[in-house]
Amino acid sequence: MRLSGPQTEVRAGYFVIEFEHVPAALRPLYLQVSTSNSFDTIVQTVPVMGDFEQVTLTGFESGHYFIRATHEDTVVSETAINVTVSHYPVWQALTLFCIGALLFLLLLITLISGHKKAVNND
Amino acid sequence: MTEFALDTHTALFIIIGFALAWIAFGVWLGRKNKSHEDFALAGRNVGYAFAAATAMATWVTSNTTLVAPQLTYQLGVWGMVGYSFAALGLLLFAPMAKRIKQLLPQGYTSGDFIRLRYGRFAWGVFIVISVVYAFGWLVSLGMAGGILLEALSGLDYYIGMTIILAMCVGYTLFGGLRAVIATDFLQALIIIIGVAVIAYWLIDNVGLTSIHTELSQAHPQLLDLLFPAAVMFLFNNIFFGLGEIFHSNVWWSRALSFRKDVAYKAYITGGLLWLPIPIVTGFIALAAPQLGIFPASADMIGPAVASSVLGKAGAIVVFIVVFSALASSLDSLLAASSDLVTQDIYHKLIKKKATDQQLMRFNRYCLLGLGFMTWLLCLPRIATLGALLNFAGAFVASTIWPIVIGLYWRRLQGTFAGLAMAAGTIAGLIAYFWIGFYVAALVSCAVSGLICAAGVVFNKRQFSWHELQESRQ
Repeated sequence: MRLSGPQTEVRAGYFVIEFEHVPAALRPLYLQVSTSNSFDTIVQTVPVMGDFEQVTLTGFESGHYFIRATHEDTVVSETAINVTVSHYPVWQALTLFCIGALLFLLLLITLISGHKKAVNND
Repeated sequence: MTEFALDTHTALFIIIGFALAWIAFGVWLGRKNKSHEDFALAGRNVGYAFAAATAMATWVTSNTTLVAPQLTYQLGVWGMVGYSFAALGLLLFAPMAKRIKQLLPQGYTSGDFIRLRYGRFAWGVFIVISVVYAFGWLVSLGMAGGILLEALSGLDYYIGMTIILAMCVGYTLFGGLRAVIATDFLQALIIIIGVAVIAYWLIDNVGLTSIHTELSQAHPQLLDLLFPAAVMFLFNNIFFGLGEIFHSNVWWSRALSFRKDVAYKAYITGGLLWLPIPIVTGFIALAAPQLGIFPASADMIGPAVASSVLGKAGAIVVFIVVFSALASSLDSLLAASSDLVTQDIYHKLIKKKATDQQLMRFNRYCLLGLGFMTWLLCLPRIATLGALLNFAGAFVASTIWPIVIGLYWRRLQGTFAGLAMAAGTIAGLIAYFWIGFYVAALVSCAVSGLICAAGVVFNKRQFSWHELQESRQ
């Protein structure tokens, strides 16, 4: 069976892995995630839910990850796939956060002052 | 073969039982609808308890029951906390609802206000935004119904989605806004009790320490307070929530249907009741890795985890809670959107001398048509719920500034308001595709705000509030 994953860099730490033509005999299916192509260290072993043909993985830090499918400790995927996670830079996130906070504060001031003005006019 | 928490027949039995009960209730309530005002605005006489319940229940939707866990699964702790900040939409709408009732005592829709305050150009842009949003939300709700049933019982997505849509169209068609608000009241009670039960069972069965240990080791990003995408998402979600509530006729029609002096208190109460719900539903997703649950699609995580932890009885509770949440929003949106089309397009553009009975009949046809179009758009299952909803964020966040300024200040005129909404939407969409869904609303709101600020500075003409008083035929 063949695995497929995101073709571009993952920017938010979560992604979907799909697999084609999984025979019933290969269920339950597991995905092994490792940081090396040789799978010396397994970071995660993920059970695939039911008989779905995809799984959503999450919570990854920036780095390169290799993923393969197993059934009863036997590797059943043709090849391991490589997924690169590269989070947005923190400065970019914090800049947007600060713009958001400023914008929200301005909105709050506009709304409260407008409301007070309307109440006074009543 | 997948083992589901509920067998398909039990799920079908519950859903059909609920559908028949709600439709019968709608028919019974509909007996009191004598005029279009009764049908569309429940006679403008809704009291505090029903008003607060409908505000809370309508805002508890697929967003809170399915998307809050989805975003927590994807973005971690910030996804959960950030989601609860959407309560700010209800809280900040409270003073605006009072102002709306004061400025438009005989108004029907949010479109009425935009047309009278800003003129045709801004109204046209606003209607496009409202239609895109309404369909985005309707489709996400219809999809959520199908996904819920599929995740819990294995029932085919298309069958589940069809039954939920048909039920909501059914009772809204017969009972109008009166049925929507009355069912919302019951659904709010079910949601509050159900969520409390789920929270208790989860804390009792899955310890916080074991969840924290598992997340720290295998999914550290979910606990990281400087998770970049999640940090970007925080204010984006706030502006998305504000845009949804500030512009949507769902909330305006409620403000106009409440008794005098009820709207402010009702929205504050509704917001405070709503605030903890995403925290509870989001927490469910954090338990997923510890339980060895990794969903096919991120939006299935809530029901999948809850039914795994709570067993069959729990699955039934989850099913009823989420089903109630979906129905309470779907019916509200169907009613409010058909009011908007009836009042703003049919009555104002197509048939200006339509009688009360003609308006009521058109409103019902419109409901049927909206339900059918939603069903068609739900068929392809085009995106995850979160992605679909946040796409609409680029549209609705552009309306925040024109609406707030338009309600309280006289200086902003129609051209700038229309441009602010159009440019904000375009900028938000560019950000959606260029960066990600977690910045679309923020960028849209910022660009719209800048244009509104320019409009206030450059315009010298003062709007007269009397221009909002439109004679009714």
